[in-house]
Amino acid sequence: MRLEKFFSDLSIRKKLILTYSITAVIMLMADLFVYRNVYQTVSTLDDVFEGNISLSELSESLDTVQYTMTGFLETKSTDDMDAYYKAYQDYSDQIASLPYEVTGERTVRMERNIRMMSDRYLEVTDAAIEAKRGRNIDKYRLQYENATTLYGYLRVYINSLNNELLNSNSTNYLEMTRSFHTVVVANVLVFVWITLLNILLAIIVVRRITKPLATLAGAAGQVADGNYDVVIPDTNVKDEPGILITAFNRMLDSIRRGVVTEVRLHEAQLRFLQAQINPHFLFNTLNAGAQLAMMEDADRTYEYIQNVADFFRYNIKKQDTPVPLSDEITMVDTYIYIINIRFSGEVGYEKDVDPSLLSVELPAMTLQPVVENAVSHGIRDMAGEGVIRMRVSGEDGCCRIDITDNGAGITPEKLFEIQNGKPSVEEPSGEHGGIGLQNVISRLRLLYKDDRVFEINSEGLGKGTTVTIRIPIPVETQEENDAPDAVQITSQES
Amino acid sequence: MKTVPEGKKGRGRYHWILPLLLVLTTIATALALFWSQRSANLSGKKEEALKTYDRYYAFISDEENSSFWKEVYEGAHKEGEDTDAFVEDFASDLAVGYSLEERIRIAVASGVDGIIVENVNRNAEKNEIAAATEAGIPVVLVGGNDDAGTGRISYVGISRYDLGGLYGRQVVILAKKLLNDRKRLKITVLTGKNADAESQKLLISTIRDSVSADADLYGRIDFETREIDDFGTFASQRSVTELLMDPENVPDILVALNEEHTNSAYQAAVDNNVVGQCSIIGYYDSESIRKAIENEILSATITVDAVQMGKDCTTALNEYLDSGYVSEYFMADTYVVDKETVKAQGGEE
Repeated sequence: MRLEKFFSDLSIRKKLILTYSITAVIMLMADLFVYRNVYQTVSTLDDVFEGNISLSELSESLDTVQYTMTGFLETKSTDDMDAYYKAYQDYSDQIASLPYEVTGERTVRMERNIRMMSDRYLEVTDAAIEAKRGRNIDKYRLQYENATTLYGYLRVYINSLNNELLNSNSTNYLEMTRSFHTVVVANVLVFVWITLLNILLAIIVVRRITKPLATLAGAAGQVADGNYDVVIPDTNVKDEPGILITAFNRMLDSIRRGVVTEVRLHEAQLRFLQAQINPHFLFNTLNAGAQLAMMEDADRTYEYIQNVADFFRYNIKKQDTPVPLSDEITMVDTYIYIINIRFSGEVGYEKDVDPSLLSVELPAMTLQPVVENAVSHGIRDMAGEGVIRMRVSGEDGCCRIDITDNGAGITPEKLFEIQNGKPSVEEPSGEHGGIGLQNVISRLRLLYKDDRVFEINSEGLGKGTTVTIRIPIPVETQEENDAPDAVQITSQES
Repeated sequence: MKTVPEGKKGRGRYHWILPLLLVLTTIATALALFWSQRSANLSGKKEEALKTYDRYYAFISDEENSSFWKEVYEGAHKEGEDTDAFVEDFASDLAVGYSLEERIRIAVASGVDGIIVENVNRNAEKNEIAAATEAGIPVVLVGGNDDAGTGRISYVGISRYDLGGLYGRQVVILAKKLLNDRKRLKITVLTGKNADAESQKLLISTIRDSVSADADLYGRIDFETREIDDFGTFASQRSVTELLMDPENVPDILVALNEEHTNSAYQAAVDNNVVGQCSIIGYYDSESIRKAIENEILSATITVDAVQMGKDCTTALNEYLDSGYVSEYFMADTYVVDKETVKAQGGEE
């Protein structure tokens, strides 16, 4: 329905104003209806006996005319004549209000006849008075008799009309008294209906306004509890709740899409980071080199290339899964071997490992990039002997790995940038095509959701650098590690 | 995905309530309005009664309670309604019962436009008619005999000769039928003390002539008149009963010349168990008379078109006031109502 659609599309403010206006107008109409009925009834009641009162007065005036005329005819006194003329005037004034017209209503016709007869009567009384003043006895006697006859007819007519009106008015009065009750009942009925209508109108309108809001509130509660799969059917209504529902549905849709995107982004980010460390090509090349060295009996060359090949094989094998700490340490050992071959044993390497922690799992290619960073930026260009120390120990449910160099050290500003993951800090990947320090930091923090998983400290330029990695140890792993046969591994290489 | 129930379902369940309420409230209000309006006052009645008329005629009869004069008045009133003239049964129900003459005087004093008056053939009446004529109020005489000397402008009545002839024909038909099993017949005509003597005489002589003129009835009919006391309540019924209670004098055919005598005659016949023995020919056509004919208490009734008479009265006054001229006479149609007529008209109804 067009009207319903029009009403539904109104704003709540307009709906309320329209509803209150309609109910107010309906009540006003009911009031006017009742007022009209009461006014009509009271007016009619007022009119009922007015005619009787007027006729009684008319009858009295007629008597006065007849009485004063007779008085003058008897005495011919000036007082009687004055009284006659006064009575004449009074009576004339009163009959002037009676109708001339002939109508179908008997009482109106009687009034008309009274008026006509009264005119005739006054003519006769005047003639009698004149005859008396002219001392024409026969004439005034005749006129007096005519006047008396007409007076008698008029009295009868007035009495008859009075009785007629009284009967009619009594009937009318009884009818009106009855009808007054009817009017009261009718008015009460109308009021009851109007009130019921207004109440129901208010209920319907308020329900229409609040029901979508209640639905919306319920849906919002479910969303707050984590249920994003709620949908409120779109009402296509343009009022505030309709707009809210549409907006709510859009918002929910956005949230649902946002969650999916975040999960996918997370996965994509991990894959992207790991993709950077896929050295297939170099590994295959090195394998070929190792075979060549073996065929030429160049044992040291073979050993060197074999180590380099192991280094890349590790990458290929382990990049998709967590690896034990022992594997990571082996990788660092391999790297130090390679570096020392390259730089003729310039890099000193010390490690102090708690063997109970060797089985702690951590992301592949975590320690080697740190060691590479220490070699590249810490000790490569230093004048004295560069030493790298790796210490693995347990600390508060974590496996703590400290990698320390005695090299160039880092300024506080640069430390801050590294800690906060600024891109400028990211160094190019190692010469071997490995992973940069920033890569390690990002992976660890993304995986363990804890900034303390990677810390880097330096007391300043020339004072060396320490990288501390804290890998949380699962409870079952801790219990295994508490076994009494754990042996401390300490070694020193150069 | 879970859908929260709302919207169209909820709305669909209640959308009919508002129109339904509006319709109910409108009906209730309209009924209440009609109800209270109908009984609140008599304004509607007043408006209807306030229709005004161009002319005002006084209808005055000495016997306004009789069905015949009621019909005459109704005819006159109806014709008046159609021609914007109000015909009033004048001064008939005032606190004081006035004579026909006084009512004429009151009508003159009331300045009516015309007077329709029953001719009762009294001198006082003639004087008042003359006074009305002198006052410039036209008077139409109705019923009884015409009296052109009163100054009336027209007369509406019945041709006594035609009426007598109609009675005579009915009496002859009935007498011939009865003479099949009777040697002689006694015919009694009821006359009224109060009735117009001339009219009665003319009627009776016409009936008598009709009977005498028929050769089949010659020498076999005893014709007499019986005067009925018209004064006082049930006087005529008593007189007729006395006639029918005398076995020696019960007539074979009883002829009533007015409505009252007719009603008295058939009631007396029933009361005295002479139905069949005494055949009655009545006057006028009323419901009770028709019933009596149907039950074969009355043989037939002679009637006039009273409504037409009333109409003619109003027409005469209208014509006179419109043109200053009018026909001197308007004669009403007379006809016989017998069992066949009643049956035929009853069938038509």
